[in-house]
Amino acid sequence: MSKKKQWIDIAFTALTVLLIAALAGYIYWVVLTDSASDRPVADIAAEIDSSFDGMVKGDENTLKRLYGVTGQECGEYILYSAESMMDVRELLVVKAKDNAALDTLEKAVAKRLETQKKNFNGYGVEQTALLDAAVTSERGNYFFFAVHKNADLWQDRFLTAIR
Amino acid sequence: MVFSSLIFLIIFLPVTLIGYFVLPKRCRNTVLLIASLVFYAWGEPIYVFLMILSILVNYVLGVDIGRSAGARRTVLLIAAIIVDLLTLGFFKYYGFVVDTINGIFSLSLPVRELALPIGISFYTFQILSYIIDVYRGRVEVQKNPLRFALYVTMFPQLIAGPIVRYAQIEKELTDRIVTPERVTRGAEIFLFGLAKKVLLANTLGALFTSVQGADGRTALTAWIGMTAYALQIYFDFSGYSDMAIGLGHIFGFTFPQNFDHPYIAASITDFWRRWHMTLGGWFREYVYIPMGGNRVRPWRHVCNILVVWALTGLWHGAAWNFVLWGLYYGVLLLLEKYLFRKVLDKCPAAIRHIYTLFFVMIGWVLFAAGGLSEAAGMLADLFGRHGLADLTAAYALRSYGLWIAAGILCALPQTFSWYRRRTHDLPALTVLIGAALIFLCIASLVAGSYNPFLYFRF
Repeated sequence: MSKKKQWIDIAFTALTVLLIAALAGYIYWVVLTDSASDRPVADIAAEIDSSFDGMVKGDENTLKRLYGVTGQECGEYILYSAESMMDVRELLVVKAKDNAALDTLEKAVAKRLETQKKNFNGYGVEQTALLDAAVTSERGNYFFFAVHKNADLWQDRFLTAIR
Repeated sequence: MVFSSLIFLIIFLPVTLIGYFVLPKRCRNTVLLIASLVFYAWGEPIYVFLMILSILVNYVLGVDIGRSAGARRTVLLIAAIIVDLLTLGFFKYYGFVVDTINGIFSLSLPVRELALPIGISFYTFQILSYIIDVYRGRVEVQKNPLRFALYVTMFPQLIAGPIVRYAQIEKELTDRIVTPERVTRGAEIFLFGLAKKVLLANTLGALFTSVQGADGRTALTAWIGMTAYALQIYFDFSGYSDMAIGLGHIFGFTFPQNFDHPYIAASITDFWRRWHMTLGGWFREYVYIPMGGNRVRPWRHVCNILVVWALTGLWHGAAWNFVLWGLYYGVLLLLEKYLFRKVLDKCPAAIRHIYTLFFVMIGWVLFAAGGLSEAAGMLADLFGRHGLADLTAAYALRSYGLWIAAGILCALPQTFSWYRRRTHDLPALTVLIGAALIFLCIASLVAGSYNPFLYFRF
């Protein structure tokens, strides 16, 4: 093998290793920015809002009634919803137990949102506006859903809390 | 960005077409490459860099394979395959593997659910076909990085296929002919694809979603729902493929056919010659034949088929129901080959069609379900767990009966042949029908919100 060819082989190998390292580094960065730290959902909720004014903490029955799922299916959760049927505000934060639970939650929340939009379509202008601006977010194995005038702010706080 | 969105139809496509045809011919690849990166970055601003890095790695490896010989060449091939499959596997299967390990060993390893880069399965398979074909000496190495990047990123087929092998467009990447006839033909194919997706798939998808969410489905309701799903997935995916092929014609590329009226198939074997033909072709060329294909002992052939079909299932989704769906077809194909072929050949055509459609519909239950338990529930409903029929089924038929009938008609090759015969000498009628379809599609897109692309998750 000529010396020139040897040098070209070395140059190609070095370039390949460099590019693969860049690819691996990039994937590592994506994972870092997309991952979530392990925190109890109650702590996360406390950082999202200190009072949840006019909303009440939901239990297993509320979870089943609103989303048609159980805590056993989903994992650790915290839920706040409005007392009045005419008030559409709600917050759900779940630390899902597995991927299937995340899929189940996505579908359940989409169905809930669709039902609520149908319920208020045509006469509940404020409610419909809030429902249209509802925020759903996933990070790591955490799931977040909010219908609230501060939904975007709550989402930012949720993402900060699990960073 | 999806083809059936207003932003694509009203802004992106016209701007790209103007840039493509107004700028000098030598700029066409650059225009298409920039448009493709913008198209991808629109939905995946983060993952566009993943795709660019994959392109760079594979470009260098491809060139190196092309200039190397002996053991180095093989090592480079293996390196490329490992890098590509690890990248795909990490994004697509990490959560699935962790879930499975947690389930088997009762562990609670943290699940890290990353968003799946759109189209990663499609473009990874395209890259692999190039690398393997360069190694085999079947295609020349592409030394121009822009052309290689364009092959991988070309927006018409980037995110949902068809899976274009490098050899199929190698010459067109360098020099291609765009004629007014070809552009017109491409526009027509694109328009029919758009209508399939927007008018048929979306409407039938809404029916399936309502059936899927219903409690206590009777057998008739469940069968109506699965018929709607079978038609939805066909028009959704074949519509997208048609749009890709049509855009390809407009830009001067000939993409391979991906569907050939699969629901007229007279056996499962026949069905898979007509459904997602480019994926079947890819697995045959790069997995099945290298494993020995059917030129091995029967037990080995059985293993080959089952491995290929388990992989085909897994390609469609990181979940056990997809693996089961793939194996289901593997077993059916083996049964047809070794047991039923002679019996099937003697059956009247109608029986063969009913047999095929029945098993394809059962297959779609596995495919559509969110998991194995949901699939089991739907199967039980199909066979009358909640009775045979009720008013829900009658309501569904009354509301969507015409759409189902239109869907069935449009799935038949005779319908399109009839349309071609009737409009052959009447260009004005063709233009009128085209304009009506555009109007209906845009009206539907403006009014509606249900516009998912089923094959985007792959």
